[in-house]
Parts: sequence; structure tokens; C-alpha cells
Amino acid sequence: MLGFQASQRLRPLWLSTHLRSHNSRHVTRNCCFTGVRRKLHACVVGSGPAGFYTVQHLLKNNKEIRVDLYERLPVPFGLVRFGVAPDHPDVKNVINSFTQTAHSERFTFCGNVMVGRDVMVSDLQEAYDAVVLSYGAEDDQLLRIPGEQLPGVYSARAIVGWYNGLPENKDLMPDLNVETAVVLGQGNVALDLARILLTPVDLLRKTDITGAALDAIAESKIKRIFVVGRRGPLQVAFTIKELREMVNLQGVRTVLNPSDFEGIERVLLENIPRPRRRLTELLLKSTPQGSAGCVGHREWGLLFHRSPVQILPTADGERVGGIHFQLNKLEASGDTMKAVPTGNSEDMPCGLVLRSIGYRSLPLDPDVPFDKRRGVIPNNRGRVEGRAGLYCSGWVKRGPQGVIATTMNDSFETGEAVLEDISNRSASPQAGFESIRPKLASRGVQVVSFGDWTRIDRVEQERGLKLDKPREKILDVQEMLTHASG
Amino acid sequence: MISLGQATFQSWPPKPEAGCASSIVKHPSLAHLIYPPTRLSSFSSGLVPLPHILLNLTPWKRMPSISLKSRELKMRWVNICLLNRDGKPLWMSGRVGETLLNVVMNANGPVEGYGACEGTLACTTCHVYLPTEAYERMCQPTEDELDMLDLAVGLAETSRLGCQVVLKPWMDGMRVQVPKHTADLRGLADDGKMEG
Ligand SMILES: Cc1cc2nc3c(=O)[nH]c(=O)nc-3n(C[C@H](O)[C@H](O)[C@H](O)COP(=O)(O)OP(=O)(O)OC[C@H]3O[C@@H](n4cnc5c(N)ncnc54)[C@H](O)[C@@H]3O)c2cc1C
Ligand SMILES: NC(=O)c1ccc[n+]([C@@H]2O[C@H](COP(=O)([O-])OP(=O)(O)OC[C@H]3O[C@@H](n4cnc5c(N)ncnc54)[C@H](OP(=O)(O)O)[C@@H]3O)[C@@H](O)[C@H]2O)c1
Ligand code: FES
Repeated sequence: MLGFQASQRLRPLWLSTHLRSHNSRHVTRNCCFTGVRRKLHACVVGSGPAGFYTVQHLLKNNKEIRVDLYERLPVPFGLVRFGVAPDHPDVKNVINSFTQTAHSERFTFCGNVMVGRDVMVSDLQEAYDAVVLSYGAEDDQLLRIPGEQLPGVYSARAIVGWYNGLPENKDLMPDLNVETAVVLGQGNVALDLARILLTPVDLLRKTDITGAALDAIAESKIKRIFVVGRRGPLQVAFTIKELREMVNLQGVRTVLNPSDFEGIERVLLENIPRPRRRLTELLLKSTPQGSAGCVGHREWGLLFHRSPVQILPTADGERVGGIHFQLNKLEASGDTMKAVPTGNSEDMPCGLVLRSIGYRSLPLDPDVPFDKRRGVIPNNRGRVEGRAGLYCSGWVKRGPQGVIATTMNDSFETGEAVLEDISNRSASPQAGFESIRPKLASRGVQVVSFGDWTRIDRVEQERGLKLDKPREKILDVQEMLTHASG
Repeated sequence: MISLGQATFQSWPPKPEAGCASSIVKHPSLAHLIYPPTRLSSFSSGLVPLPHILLNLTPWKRMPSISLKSRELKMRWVNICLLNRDGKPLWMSGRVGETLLNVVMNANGPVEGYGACEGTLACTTCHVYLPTEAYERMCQPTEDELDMLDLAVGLAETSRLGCQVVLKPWMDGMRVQVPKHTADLRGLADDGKMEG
């Protein structure tokens, strides 16, 4: 079995075949097309999975198109770098495929350019045949309850950004000198947070978690983490792989209340979807009556049917001291189960509150339509409504939901829409980045190329090598820019 | 020794795989497995019909011939017909013992985005539908593969992850379908959110 696993790691072979064929395709294309047809030029805004998969689709399916990718930070890959948990390095293998795409001659990376500030969408539309917005979800949902601004209450987004080295969160330094932490929300991000805060520090040391986060977690006094949902065990949003990791976490006990699971076995007899069934079976196995789970001096648990209505301060009013919950019951509402208050409530003491109820996209530019309620750019299969030549993909297209594979599929859909439209339109040649460059130069923006990024990458990896970890991320944009220019 | 073609022909319908005791005992939960993953989809029936073409296995004679040097080598190559997202069949070949992921990648990556995590069971981009007979003959998916499959868009009865499908001589001529799932994505943003 071990040998088998090893044989699956095939990068060198694919990489070499890929690159060879890639180059030879270029040669033929250039002879065939030079001077015959005008060059198509598209740009994509945001270099997360949505951005890169859109680029990939465009380059692969149209051999004439050139694509420029604008990214607000000097470093690419969006949430693959700044979201995916440091202890999930395999998920980040997708960076290899993005890097391969970036090596295409028809691709330009324009890092450190914030669209909506350094350059406007209307400028881009003038310079390109098509503009694809893939800028993700740069904010997070608020609970909008009293006490949410107290010290000790953090958004999941900020904590994730902090341990993953997002420049804007580098000085967060959350106070982990508390025994009980509560994560509000029961999605995969909630479990990522709980797992990273409870994973033995010697395991984290080997990951690309930032040095500062590692030190803080090593000093952490957290003994228990409750992950709290407003609905029941059948409505949790996390998936089985992430739950299994929690249940198997070294030195951490899983604490579930058997009364939350009454009647669940009966539901399992019904024809429910396999993913939900397996997830629920694992939850049941992890109750005290079940067989799964580890022993340990620290613990984590799931609490259900609780909506936070107020974050309570400590007696001195200085920071968070607890949460006031309204207790819920479930009522069917169409296809889903809705949480409705029972009239009862409960206070729970805790020293740290992590709000993990979803990310949220923001409008980028007053010029671009935006559906505030749903937090997405209104679109039809990726075509921005009422705006010819403007497209969107990824979380800003469909909301902050779904894994990288989901984002990939929807980016291919958008790519297809772009190619369909572009081949039906005749327009004058577009200069692309060449016409944007002077605008950026006049604003003093240092544009980071993909080659520049590889210099930053190298420095990070070298620093990591000394610490026996894959990389030590650079946290400061200015320092990134210094290394970028060599 | 029998030729590759005969071997293929005689091996259908497939028998349970040797060294894989439980291969015909269906996983208890597979009976219901006709489903979209937990939160990813809102299509109404929840049932992903298996493409018709998977059920008809093309006889070996219709496959493009691949010139090989020795009989021994011949015995170790397996031809697979991959139905891409656009419905076009692609023939590719790999050696016994290789994974389907290797075969696709060595064929120059004709399936966009395939194998994002490089076979480490961390992505589901290598998701494929197998013919029922082949699905039943193969070793059952491991718990880790099932965990990952549960996240796959368009999960169907014979879904597997290509990075876990290891080529066997009897798979020669097998037709494998890459799911087309863009249509499933549209309802996503409206996925039943609750007011609390
Ligand atoms: C904490 C967390 C962990 C996750 N873990 C996993 C996992 O393990 N496995 C998995 O499959 N999925 C995981 N996901 C989901 C996955 O990350 C998303 O599906 C995917 O990243 C969405 O891609 P996107 O490109 O739409 O957004 P993003 O990845 O956010 O990319 C958006 C990019 O746009 C850039 N940008 C923003 N504004 C501008 C601007 N004005 N101008 C220029 N550029 C801009 C940003 O800097 C960013 O690089 C995780 C998500 C989160 C939040
Ligand atoms: N390892 C991985 O594969 C991985 C890791 C991280 C993230 N991701 C993906 O990234 C996406 C985003 O993850 P996410 O965890 O941010 O979002 P999510 O999956 O949508 O989960 C959000 C959670 O917050 C709850 N919630 C929302 N609003 C609330 C409110 N007002 N009060 C109380 N609870 C509220 C939701 O409960 P309701 O159900 O009641 O609304 C749900 O439990 C997901 O698709 C996830 O799978 C994947
Ligand atoms: S290649 Fe990622 S799960 Fe198979």
C-alpha cells in the first residue's frame, strides 16, 4: 500500500511531458497564425483558484488569446495560500498546475495591482476584449449582535489570515491565554480553526504556518473549544474528512451530548444522501456511546440549536467573558429546516469567540453591478448582467461556498462564456497590459511579474529550509516587493 | 498464452478481483449513493443518471491498435476509453499497476483540471464514473476515498476517484466517463440558507 501511494506522486513525469508539448504547440501556433488574425486579449482580476482556472481554460481552448492576470497582492494563489490550512499541504499541490499555466508565453501576471484603486474596471474594459472578475470574498459576515466588537471576538477570516501569513492580519496576535474558546458556525472553516488551535505544536512546526502563529499556539492555554451551530446535527455544514480529522486529533477528546442525537438513528434508516449519512454515522460513533475518538487532556465539542444573541463582556467590561444564546428548535420550511427560538436561553462563559459564519464579497468598483443581498455580482453563467464584455467566476460569482473543485467547474463555465462571445465579436486590436502599464507607473505602482514572484517564493523556501518547514512566509508587502525586484 | 484481445473478451463479464475479499459485498451505504454532496447542489431528483455509453463495452477489436514490441510488454498495457466532459471519447493506454490518474496525465492532460492534488486524495478533480461491472469487480473504495468522494459534485452509483483506480489487465477496453457538472452549479448561491 505504501509503495502504491508513492507511485502516485508523479510530478516529474507529467511536468516534463506537459512542458514539452506546451512548447511545441507554441511553435506551430505561431507559424500558423502570425498576421492572419488579430490577437485576442483578455484579463482576469484575482489570482485565486477562480482566476487561475479561468486563465487555464482560456489559454487551453483558444490558441490565439493572451491573458493578463491582475492580483492585489505581490503573491499569487488567493485562498490556496491564505485560506487552506497549513496542515493540508496536499490541497496546495494545485499550485503546481497554476504555476505551469503561468509559464505560458501568452500569460502575464500583474501582481501588486489593486483593481478598483490602482486601475478601474472601465480602464480594463477599454484595454481588453474581455474582463473576468474573480476577486473572491474579501470580507466576512457579521452576526450584528451587541458585543460583537469586544476585544477577544475575532472573525474566522482574520484568524485564518493570521496563521497563514496574510499581510493585513500579521499583527493580529489573538490572545490565546484563555481556557475556553467558542467557534460560532459549523462549516469547514470552523473546523479548520478548531483543529489548528488544538493540533500538537510539534505537528504544526512542520507546516508552512507562520512563525508568529506557531509561537502563539505553543503558548496557548486553550483547553476546550466548542463549535456552536444554530441548527441540529443533520444540518452541519462541515464535511466528513474534516470531522474525521477532529475526531482523530492527537490528545484531544471529542465531547458530544447524546441527547442531541436522539432520534437520529431513525433518520438514518431513511433514504438520505450518502455524504450526509456517512457524516451523521461518524457523529454518532463519536458520542460517548460510540466507538470513535481519542483520549486527551484537551477537548472539543459540538453544540447545537443555539443562536448567539449577545456577546457578554467580563465584569470589568474590558473583553469578552461569555455568550448569551437563544435556544432553538427546528421547523420544516420548504426543503430545509429552519431554526426558530424556543423562548429559552443560556449563558456560556468563554474567553475567546471566533465568528465563522461565512465569508462575504464586496463591490469592487461603482461601475460594476453588485447584488448586496446575496453578496455576488449578478450574472448569467458568468456573464455579468447588462455589461457586455464583463464576466465573473469563483466566489464572487456564486457566493463564498464550495471547495476548489467547485470553483474550478464554475470557472470553466465562465471561460466558456468568454470564448463563445469573443469569437462572435469583431473589435479593434486591444493593447492589454501595455496600455495599463503607463497608468500604473504614473501612480507609482510596482508591478510584480510571475518571475518576480518566483524570487519571493525562493526566499520563503530558503527560510523554511533552515526551520525544517516547507516555507516561512514573508508577511510584509514592502519586504515582498524588495525581494521581488531582486 | 492468450492474446490481449482474447483476455479482454473472456474477462467480461468481470469476476470479483482476486486478493480483494470484499469486492462484491457492496458497501452498506452504496445502496443509496445516488446523490449530490451535502451542500454543493440543489438539483431536484438528486439522481445522476449513468451515461448510457458506459454500459456498452466496446469489443477490443474496435480499439485503435497500439504497436508494442514484445508479447510480454503487450500483456502489461491496458487501453482505456475516456469520455471527456464534451462527450468525446479519448483512447489512452497505461501499464498494469498504474493509476487512471497517471494514464490521463501521461496522455498530456486532456481533461482540464484533472488531478489537482496530484493523487493525494485531497481534491476530487479526478472523479470518474465507471461501468457498473468494473465498479463491482474492483476493490471497494477505502474510507479515505469515500470521505473525499462525498465531496464530489455529481456523485453517482459508480463514482470513483481516478487516482485510486489501479489498472488491471481485465480493465482493457473499459470506458470511463468524466462527469459533466457545470449544470449542477447554478443553484449554489441560493442554497437554502437559514435565518437564525
Ligand atoms: C479558510 C478556508 C480554507 C479552505 N480550505 C479548502 C480546502 O482545504 N480545500 C478546498 O478544496 N477548498 C478550500 N477552501 C475553499 C477554496 O479556498 C475556495 O473555493 C476558492 O479559494 C475560491 O476561489 P476564488 O478564486 O473565488 O477566491 P480567492 O481564493 O479568495 O481568490 C481571490 C483573489 O483575488 C484577489 N483580489 C481581491 N480583490 C482584488 C482586487 N481589488 N484587485 C485584484 N485582486 C484582488 C485576492 O487577493 C485573491 O488572491 C477553503 C476556503 C477557506 C476560506
Ligand atoms: N477542508 C476543506 O475542504 C475546506 C476548508 C475550509 C473551507 N472549505 C469550504 O469553503 C466554503 C466556506 O466555508 P465556511 O465554513 O466559511 O462556510 P459554510 O460552509 O457556509 O458554513 C457556515 C456556517 O455558519 C453558520 N451560520 C451562517 N450564518 C449564521 C448566523 N447568522 N448565525 C449562526 N450561524 C450562522 C451556518 O449555519 P446554517 O447552516 O444554519 O446557515 C454554517 O454552519 C465551504 O464550501 C467549505 O466547504 C473547505
Ligand atoms: S487527484 Fe486529487 S483526489 Fe484524486
